[in-house]
Amino acid sequence: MGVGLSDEENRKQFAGIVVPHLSEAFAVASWLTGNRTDAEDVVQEACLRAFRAIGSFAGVNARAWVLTIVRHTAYSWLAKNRPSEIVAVEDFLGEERLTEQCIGGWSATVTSTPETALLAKLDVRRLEAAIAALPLAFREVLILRDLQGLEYREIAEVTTLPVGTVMSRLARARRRIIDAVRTHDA
Amino acid sequence: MTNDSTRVPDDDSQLVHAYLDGELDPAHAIVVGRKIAASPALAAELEQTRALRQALREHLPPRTLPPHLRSRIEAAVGMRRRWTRPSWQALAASIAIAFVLGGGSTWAVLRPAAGDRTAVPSWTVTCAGSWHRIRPT
Repeated sequence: MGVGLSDEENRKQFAGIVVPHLSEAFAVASWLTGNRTDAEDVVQEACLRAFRAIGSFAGVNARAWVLTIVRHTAYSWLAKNRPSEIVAVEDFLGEERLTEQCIGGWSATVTSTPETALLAKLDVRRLEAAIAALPLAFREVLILRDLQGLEYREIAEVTTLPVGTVMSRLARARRRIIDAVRTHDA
Repeated sequence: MTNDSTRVPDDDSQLVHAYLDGELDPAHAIVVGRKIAASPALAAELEQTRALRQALREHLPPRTLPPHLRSRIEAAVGMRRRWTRPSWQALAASIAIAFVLGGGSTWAVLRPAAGDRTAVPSWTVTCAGSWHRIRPT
């Protein structure tokens, strides 16, 4: 419960702070968990957490506050139900460095733009599969930026990452999707 | 496949994304814009990323909030009365109570007056909340 607030006051705060962002909370939870049913559980639990902590909201950015709680809850849910999803991002970065050493880096192949036309006619299932295949650490940044439209500093707030890390993960996430499309089409 | 002339340093690539996202301050954006203009690889990176963003925006169906979830959440925090589907046991119990109350009140109205010896004891059955007297013929 909010500190020093009555239940009625908590409910009013909840209606003003959390409820306007329920749709976005559900979209983020859907992308993080990979399906609607699990997303419902995550959002409901996140809302209960938000309600209990409503008095601690600093009053600056309700959207980022709500999404931070949703992300935390999704991570807890994944740790319990799909622990293999929670892998240290260093593992992926190490893997990418190895790949770069082997093929000379993805950027070496960026000389023409056949993918531009390819992406424009990309079908939904392939796009969704490419996003789902992203490691969670990259997927969340991509979702928050390209689907929810958060600014880098907001993503940094939600994920508690430095802005520079947000920028590098976003670039890697996008590159992985473009590579996946190219690989699939080859 | 690897060619130094087409290789894009990782930092530059990231700056292209920040440039596209409008995240650079004006001075920095001018510098990166010039780099992009001078590098086909960076220009390609920019175009591909722009295309990807467009594909993400236009092709993916929105994940819309199910109306029942909103109701469930509002009920959970006490913003609205919780509506629960009645169980079969609860339904059966409420029907039984209705029978007893309905039957009892009908009996109270129709019961024979005290001392009425002509009243014939009868079989009684409950039906749709009423008592029915069935006289043997």
